Amino acid sequence: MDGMVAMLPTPLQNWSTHLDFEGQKLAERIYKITLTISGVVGFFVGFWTQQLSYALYIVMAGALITALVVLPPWPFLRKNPIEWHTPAKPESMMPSQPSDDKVVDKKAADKKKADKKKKEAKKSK
Amino acid sequence: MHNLLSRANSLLAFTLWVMAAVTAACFLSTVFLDYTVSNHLEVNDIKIRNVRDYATDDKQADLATLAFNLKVDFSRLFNWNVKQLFVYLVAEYKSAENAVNQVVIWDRIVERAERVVMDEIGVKTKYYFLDDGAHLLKHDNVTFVLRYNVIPNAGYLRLVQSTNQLVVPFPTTYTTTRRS
Repeated sequence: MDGMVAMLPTPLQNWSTHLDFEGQKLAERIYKITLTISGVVGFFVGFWTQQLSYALYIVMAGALITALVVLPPWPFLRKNPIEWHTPAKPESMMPSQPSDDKVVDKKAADKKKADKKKKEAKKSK
Repeated sequence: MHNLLSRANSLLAFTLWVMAAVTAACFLSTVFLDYTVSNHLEVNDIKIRNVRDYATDDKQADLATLAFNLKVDFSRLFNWNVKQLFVYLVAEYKSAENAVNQVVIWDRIVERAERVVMDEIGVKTKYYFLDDGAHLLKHDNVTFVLRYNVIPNAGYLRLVQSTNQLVVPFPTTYTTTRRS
């Protein structure tokens, strides 16, 4: 995909076609429903006219219409944007031992604090 | 589904799935239909000659030449799952040499159209009617059977036999003239 994007003219390369997760779910539901409908309609038209080609043309036409609805990154498919976390500081992004220990220690320290608080609460009761 | 190519891929795959399903439904809607037709066949002008069979063993064999009239209405057979018919005429008979002899003497491709009626008069055989031996002379019952393949758009190749056959007794003397 990246290779194909690199082949496009420069203004197009920055155009993102991402959808958010809700949009992806909606897009998948849309295409499944419309293509199934076009399949059923195509079958009945083909059966009525007794031409298999008509049935398949209708399915292909349904696919083209669905492509217009589903493929471009329309705004209605981007209504729930993904909230990315702010990037962490550069040092702590390194997967080195000391920071892991810090996290473990922090967790242990928090647990100790919480246990202490509980004990004190019990005592005061 | 997060970028255009991924969505296009999913869409294409599902489209092909739907097309396959529509084709399968087309097959199912036609598989249990009745594809038999009757025919009107007359066989005339049968001549038998005793010739040397160069192709196999150089012995003397019976060669029959004939002309026939065939009238069949195929219109009823064509539906959205029939592309064309392959029709052929077979001469079947029993002989001292073989229990069953089947010789295809003529065939034709019949393509789909609105109204398909075959009305042939004075048709000469397309293929040689050469016996395996010299047993055609004085034969009491050579049966002419019309069979056809129904060639579908989707599904298996179906072979159907027409409802009526024609039994013909063959001449009792050889023809010695050259003209058939």
